[in-house]
Amino acid sequence: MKKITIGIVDYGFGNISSLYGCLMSLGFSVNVSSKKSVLKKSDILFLPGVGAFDSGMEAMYEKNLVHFIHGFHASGKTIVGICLGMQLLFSSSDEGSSTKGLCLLPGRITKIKTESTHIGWNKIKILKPRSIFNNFDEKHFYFNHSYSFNGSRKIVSGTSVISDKKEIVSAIVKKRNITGLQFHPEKSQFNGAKLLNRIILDAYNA
Amino acid sequence: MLKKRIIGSIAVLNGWAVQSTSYNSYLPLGRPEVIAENLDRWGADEILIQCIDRSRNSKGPDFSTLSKIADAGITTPLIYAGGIKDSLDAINVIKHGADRVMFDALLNSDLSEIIKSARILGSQALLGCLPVSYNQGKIYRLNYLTKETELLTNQYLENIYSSSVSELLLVDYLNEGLDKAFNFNILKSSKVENINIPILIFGGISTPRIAKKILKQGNIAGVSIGNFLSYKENSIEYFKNKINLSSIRKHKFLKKR
Repeated sequence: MKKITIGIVDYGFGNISSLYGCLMSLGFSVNVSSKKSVLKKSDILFLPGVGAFDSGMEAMYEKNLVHFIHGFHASGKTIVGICLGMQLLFSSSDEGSSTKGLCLLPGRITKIKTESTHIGWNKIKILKPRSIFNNFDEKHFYFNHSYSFNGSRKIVSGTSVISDKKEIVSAIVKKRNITGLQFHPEKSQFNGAKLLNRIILDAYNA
Repeated sequence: MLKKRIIGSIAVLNGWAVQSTSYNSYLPLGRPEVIAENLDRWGADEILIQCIDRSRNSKGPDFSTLSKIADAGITTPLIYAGGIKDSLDAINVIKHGADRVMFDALLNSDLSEIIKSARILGSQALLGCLPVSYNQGKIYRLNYLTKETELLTNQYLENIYSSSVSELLLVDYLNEGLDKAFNFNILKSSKVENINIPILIFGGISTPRIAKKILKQGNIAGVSIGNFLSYKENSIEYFKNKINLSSIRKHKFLKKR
């Protein structure tokens, strides 16, 4: 049986070694690169990221990756964005100036309202019980962000309550071959690894 | 709701994990990556790597130690502190495997570099570290480099807020590494009660009882524990079970990876 190959887009942002280590421990073949020639061989593409929206998109443009990612998406293969990587999938963000995002998902990333940041372990609520995320309802994952997606609920598969004021942020978004995770599954111990495995196997077998 | 955190702290000196007492005397514990693997398996909520000789000796961040820990396949978020001189160092710390960066000496020397780091990494990736002591109703801060203490003023705190760090680690440095020694007067001080970003506490937290009492205070987001996690197998789960608050995340000990 062919080993599933994961491409991690190295656009210079974030802690890629954690994601690489986690995916390798799950038994996948993993390539970390900013080269299109390497990334195009992937079955699934991961966009990781720690950082600010503007700087992340600027790095994407500098490395000429935007057009490639659009092409990968158009081919029907799965793209998974993590934290900043998820936010970059959207059209724009309140963070920084008016830099456009990858525009693969509709909507704008906005600042969390009731707290300055959302840092630490929080439960997620799965909104679509028959989805692949069903087994992860009420499980804890590690979040580390100040901005979030607060648009159309149609693409939101999971949410998290972040403050006493009951503000809700999108934790998982999914639309066709795109999945975005606002939390860090690669840093969420057992549940995180299990979720990544589930997403990858589901995408590959689709 | 967001859980309060139990953070495992590893003090690193010359590439070795050490048991530290008041940042003054040190006993070797072993390889930092092995201790980090234990904390990961035991369910720490974050792991803080404090390379304590780097800022003092202007050595820059200890990328070698950080990479070894990151390459060990740790699935717990890593915070790195030590020797960060500018925003470039902060970015490189993240690239070498940390999830968050903690500034110590830079808080006193160059806030503009912290602000620059926030623009690139986002404020959620940044923390400040503030060693403090209590004396006759007042809170004093220690300058790491000069070893001098100064009264903690509102102006100093305002400067920290303006630097964009998302959380502040208050270190009871006089009691660091000492058993049941955390000075609760620090928490009772109005200066600390009024800090308006989430606070983490470190130093002299040797028992679940002390940790629980600290975690019950509203603006405390977590406690960081060092030496006292190294004396018992699966000590994080032990602490979490004994603390037994709904505001902390329970973890099931994984016997095998």
